[in-house]
Amino acid sequence: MSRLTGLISCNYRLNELQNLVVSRPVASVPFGGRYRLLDFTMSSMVNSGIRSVGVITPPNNRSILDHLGAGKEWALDRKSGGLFIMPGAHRALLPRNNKFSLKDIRMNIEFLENETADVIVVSACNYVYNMDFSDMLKQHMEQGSDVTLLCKAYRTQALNQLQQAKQNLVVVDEEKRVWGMLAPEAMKDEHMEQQSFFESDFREDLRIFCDIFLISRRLLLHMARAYEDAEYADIMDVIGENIRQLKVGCYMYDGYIEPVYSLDNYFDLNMALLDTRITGELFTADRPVKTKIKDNPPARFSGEGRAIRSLLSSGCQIHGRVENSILSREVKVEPGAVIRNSIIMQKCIIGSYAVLDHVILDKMGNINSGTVLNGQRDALIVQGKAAVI
Amino acid sequence: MRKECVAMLLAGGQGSRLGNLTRKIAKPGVSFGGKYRIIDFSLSNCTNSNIDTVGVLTQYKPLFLNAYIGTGAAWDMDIEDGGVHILPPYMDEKGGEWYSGTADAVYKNLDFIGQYDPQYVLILSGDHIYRMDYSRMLKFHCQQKADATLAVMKVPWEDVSRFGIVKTDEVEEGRISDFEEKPKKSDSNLASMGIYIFNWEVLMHILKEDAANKGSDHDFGKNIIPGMLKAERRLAAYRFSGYWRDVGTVESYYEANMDLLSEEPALDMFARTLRIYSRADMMPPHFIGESAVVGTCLISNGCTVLGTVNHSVVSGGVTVEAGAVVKDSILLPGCHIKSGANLYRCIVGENSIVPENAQIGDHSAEARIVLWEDDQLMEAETEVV
Repeated sequence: MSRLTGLISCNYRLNELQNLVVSRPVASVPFGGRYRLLDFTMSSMVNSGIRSVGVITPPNNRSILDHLGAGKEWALDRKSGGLFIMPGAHRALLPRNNKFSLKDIRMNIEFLENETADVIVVSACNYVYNMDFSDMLKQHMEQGSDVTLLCKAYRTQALNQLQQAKQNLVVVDEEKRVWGMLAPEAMKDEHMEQQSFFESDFREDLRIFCDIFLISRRLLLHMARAYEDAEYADIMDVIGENIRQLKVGCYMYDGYIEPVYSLDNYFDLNMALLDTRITGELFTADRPVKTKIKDNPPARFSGEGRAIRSLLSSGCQIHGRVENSILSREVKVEPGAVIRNSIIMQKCIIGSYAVLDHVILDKMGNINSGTVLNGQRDALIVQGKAAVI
Repeated sequence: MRKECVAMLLAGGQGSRLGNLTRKIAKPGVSFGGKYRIIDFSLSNCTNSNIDTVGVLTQYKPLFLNAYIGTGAAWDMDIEDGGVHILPPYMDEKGGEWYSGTADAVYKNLDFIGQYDPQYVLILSGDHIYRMDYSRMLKFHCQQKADATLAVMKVPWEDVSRFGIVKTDEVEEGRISDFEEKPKKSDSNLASMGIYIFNWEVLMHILKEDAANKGSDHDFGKNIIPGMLKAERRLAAYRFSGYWRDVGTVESYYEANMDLLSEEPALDMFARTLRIYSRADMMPPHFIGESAVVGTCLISNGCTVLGTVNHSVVSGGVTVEAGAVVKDSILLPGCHIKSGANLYRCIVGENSIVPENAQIGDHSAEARIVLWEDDQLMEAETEVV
């Protein structure tokens, strides 16, 4: 499927993740024990046969560069094609939650000029999913679309989530062609009249856009050049503005795909991985989610080490109890310590007889012996990198 | 480019003493310690010792090993100049023949070593579990101005008959005065670990001599080392005191795996220095279920544990269903233990399925280790015919 080239946008912020994004971009937020958020998009692309992937990085890109390296783990260390890590634009005082800024594209326009693929798959980096783009491309080609948006079915209950996740709603006509896009702002409370519109029953003509789309390379190049003066236009705005002239299709995806957009939802999505039905869909043997290899030994349980309903990564040393939790690589749980309903990231040390409940502990945290941190589902305790408590 | 030292890794033997474990793959390719293969240890030691050129001599069922080693990227050996090279037997204008011994295998690849025109050649086995910095041994070899240096270590007296036993000179402690291959009794318990450093010029000369000798078995331990002593070559003994196990038999393979489960393992896989690299499958973290009971075990990526696992090594991608009990066992990659199965002192082969309610193995510590593979129980010991 070399007709497709990947482009991942990482140059935006998600301040709702608070402590987790103080020192790192969204793309490299740890997820599911051994992964970074970016891994899901990267792996979906290479598992779809894409051999050329561009990653547009924010200015604080150290952790992304460290994680991706030369792209070896994704087999992107190629002579032809491969991994292209690109700088994103500085946003200065402008809002930084635009996902697909045209300025980012224009700064790196040579990447698009040098590629030979007809179609580019553009993706945000804060989604947890593992999909094959072949089917979507097939639909894109068959319908002869300029743009195909990856969408999920709309449910009224999802409205609140859409606003928080800043996901756009897409309106389709009878031919399933997109004729309008609604930004989450348009669904805010003050538009009471519209509110009822959205909250009316299930609406066949609405779709949730998942920030992943196919676009013809020529069109993207054209947009980047034509909108050169509109400094911070977003590709989505441009598509919206020209929706009548463009043929915009909508590809319905019914697999698992969820955006990370807040601490609570980050917690929930991690915990969802304790459901084997979800992990069964996300982590399949023939479409592995790839990540940086660390060469750690297997996790080791001592005689008093116990775990139930948990996900544990390699290099962990468990002498205490772990319940309903997700542990990243090289976490050490000392004797008598108890971890419940928590997300513990790489290289944390949990001292003996410490008790953690509903805690998100960022990398290299050090919990002293006997420390008790009791959070709750709606009052999570979140500690930033290298916390000592 | 000229290399200081080139390593030759002997990985061609069948390893028949590992019995059914090597029915399908050569001994160095056998899974070890959850996420490793036996050959990872020697290859990682090379990487950690700044030896970037390794010839791997393969012969017996090499397909898996060839694929596993690949470009050598897992051990950082995917380099332009040097790297890891698989060296199977080959044909020349006079025809072709198999490697007929360890020395013969290296002899047939003298041209390979010659390309790098090294000063020293390191000879290694692909079936030892240990962590060692060969650069220290090389330094010792140079200091001793030896023609060849053997790595040696003290072994329990009752084991001397299993090893090549070295006696050192009374005056010059580093110098070897006598060498006996598997003696019934000896007044020394310094065993050769099958790790040799030769001066390249000397090795070339001796291997050519040995190849011409029709009566020789072309074996380093049996012929080359004793021959060098007889010829009054200078042989040095480099003493090693860390953890080292020859996992050539099912018992030693099983025990070495179990060693990793001890409170403070002599071979600490968690140490940050001299790390052991392996070619990892991309698998998610392992999942321990609601009904699971785990204790004193190693569990690798991609496992789903819903049953009881006690004092066992669980390799990557293994499933243990609820109600299954696994004790004192080694589960090799990808195997599946169905509910109600009880496993004691058992090795379950790669990708094998243990059916529901199967009772395999015996509690008692004297019980022999059994192997379950391809839907059948076999004596782990059975020699391959």
